[in-house]
Amino acid sequence: MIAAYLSKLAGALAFDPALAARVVIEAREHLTDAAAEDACVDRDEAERRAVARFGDPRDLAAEFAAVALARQAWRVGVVIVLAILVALAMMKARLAWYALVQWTIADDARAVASVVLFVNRYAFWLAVLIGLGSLFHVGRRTAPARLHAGYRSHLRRATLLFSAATLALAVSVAGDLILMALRVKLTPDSIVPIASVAVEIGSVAFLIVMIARASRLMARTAGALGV
Amino acid sequence: MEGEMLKGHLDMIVLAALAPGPAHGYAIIEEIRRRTGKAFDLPEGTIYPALHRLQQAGLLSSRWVTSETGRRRRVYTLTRSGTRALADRRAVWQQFSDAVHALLDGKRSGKPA
Repeated sequence: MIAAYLSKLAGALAFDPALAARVVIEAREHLTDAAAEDACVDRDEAERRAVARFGDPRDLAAEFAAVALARQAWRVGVVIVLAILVALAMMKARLAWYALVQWTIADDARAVASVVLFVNRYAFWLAVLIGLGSLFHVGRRTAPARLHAGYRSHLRRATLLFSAATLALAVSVAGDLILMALRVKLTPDSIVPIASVAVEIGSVAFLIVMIARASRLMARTAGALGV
Repeated sequence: MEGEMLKGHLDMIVLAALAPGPAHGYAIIEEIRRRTGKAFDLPEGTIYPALHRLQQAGLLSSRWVTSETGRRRRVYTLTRSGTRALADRRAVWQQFSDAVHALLDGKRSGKPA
């Protein structure tokens, strides 16, 4: 009886395998204790009563879903802010390197560089603004007791903000890439600016994967629970 | 007591049940039953989403503990923020409870509206 119930519970929580694994262990221990402490002599009956008192797996899944999605959204928000800080650190390191090796932009490329720099700068600050805004948006509302349409809309808005911040950061990183290409000379020293831009591109790629994963989790959860 | 009414206060109930010390889910349910004289009738599984939610909010911490018999249990502990949150919620609840009592008993609190 308990095993069948745990299987249903794991199925209802399939939208988040890590959460399902943890909850199934907690539920198994709970149900084992509850059945063991039941005064009823019939073991099957004791297990049936323990399972009945535990609640409907689908209802529990809806309550866990809100917590799981809120946690995922908060993680994405934090990673966005970290990616922005990484990009800033890489930009500063690159500029320091250029000053050290005295690499400048050729005169005929200065007009292009100034346009790219303008876009780059504003895209970066837009990413900072939207990134912090997305974190504030996610943090200002705690997970409700149960996933409902209103909270799903709140998370959908968060995903939009995450995507906008990532897009702005991607534009800024693309600007960094162009500015580096205008300045870099193909010598062994160029590994430093190339590596720093590679780190920025990696951060943005990681962010895109995280946002896609969070969106899939939200869609899967909402679909499974009919929210 | 009505399930929906209870759910609205579940976080405070769980925090209060953990005030004496760390406990796993089943022990928390038992503590709630013991201290309320089995007045609360809530699906027992409901406690786990609440525990996860409170942990996410930083009001609880948790860790796996393996007993001598090899059973793994997740043990929850109030954090400092959790202790503070419980004190705040207790104060709000006390104020609310006093006001409802006064209303039901037909007394006036003497405070301006």
